[in-house]
Amino acid sequence: VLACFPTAVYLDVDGRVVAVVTADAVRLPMSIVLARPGSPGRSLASDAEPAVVGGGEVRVGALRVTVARWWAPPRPLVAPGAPLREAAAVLSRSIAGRPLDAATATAVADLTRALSVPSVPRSVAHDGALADPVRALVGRGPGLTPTGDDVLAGALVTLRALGEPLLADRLAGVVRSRLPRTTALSASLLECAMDGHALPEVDALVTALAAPDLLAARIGPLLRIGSSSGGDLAHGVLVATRAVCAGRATRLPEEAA
Amino acid sequence: VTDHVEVRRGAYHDSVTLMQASRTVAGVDGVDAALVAMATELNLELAAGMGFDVPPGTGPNDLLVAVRASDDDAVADGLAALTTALAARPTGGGDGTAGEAPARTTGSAVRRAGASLVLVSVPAAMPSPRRWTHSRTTPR
Repeated sequence: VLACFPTAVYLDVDGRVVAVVTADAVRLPMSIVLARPGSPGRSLASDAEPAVVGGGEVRVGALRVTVARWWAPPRPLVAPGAPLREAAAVLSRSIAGRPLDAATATAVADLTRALSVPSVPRSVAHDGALADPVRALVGRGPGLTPTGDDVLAGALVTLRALGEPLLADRLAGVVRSRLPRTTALSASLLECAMDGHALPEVDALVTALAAPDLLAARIGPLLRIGSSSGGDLAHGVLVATRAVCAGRATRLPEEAA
Repeated sequence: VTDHVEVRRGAYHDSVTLMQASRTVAGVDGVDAALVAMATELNLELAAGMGFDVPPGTGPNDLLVAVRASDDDAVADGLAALTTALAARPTGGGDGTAGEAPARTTGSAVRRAGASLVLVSVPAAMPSPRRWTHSRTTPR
């Protein structure tokens, strides 16, 4: 048992995190979701006891959970032709009230630039440029999911959603090599993000990149997640949106499919 | 906290050099944030997002140097580190091989150096391979 909260228990199962969360909790991609809400002030389980996981069942002390129905975490997709320039402008205004600290902002700007350089054959030089900001971001900041990780997770999911699997793979490759530098929970969430799996609130925001009018309404629920995690994830969505937009603008017409 | 925003008109360095230079400046003691980049639309947005005030009329042919530091001394240290970082690499277009005329086409450059990889770096949209040269240079 890694940690217990009123609405969530995080378990380490052979190096991968499994979460048991209540119906009112943030629905992480690797969650077993209970039908009931959490009881305020009372931990869902005790972290004093070892957990037993397997056979469709999870046991943590008095907490016994049997899987009734499997669910698939959302993987956002944005159809080609989305007005990314406009979406980036709206998104950037929406998160202006949630600025990053100066050093993180520098790393985030560097990450955006490194991702905006288009195409793969030139990647040898540019993955060097990608490595520096990723090194600066993984594990950066306080909390179970540090700020830097949330930004990277938002960017990874959005790159896949925007149909840039090569960019997503490049970023995933660099992030993967740094995973031991962060918390177990955060590393697991980053692995989910590498596969394109997102929180429902992130899914809602990313799919709205195709219709920027919807962004303002969809960012609210995301910003309410965690103390800063929601805003940090939104910053990551913006990183990928800007980078893809700039990358496509510099691509040749005959290259841009 | 001191913000230093400087536009170097017409100065050019390739993006890889600038990203590395930017990181070098950001790593200087007392420097909180730094963006050293050609003033493309993307980089202007990033500078604005970091809270830097960039003078209007700054464009993609200008080099933007934005440094936020604890005091003027730290800004000066950052700028000194930038000068070193940019001087450490050839800026392109210069005459790297004393006494020898630079190659004028990709083809002749490849023939001279026996190179199998060519990096073309220009301050604009991606150059089209077919515009590079008329000779036998494209994929071997």
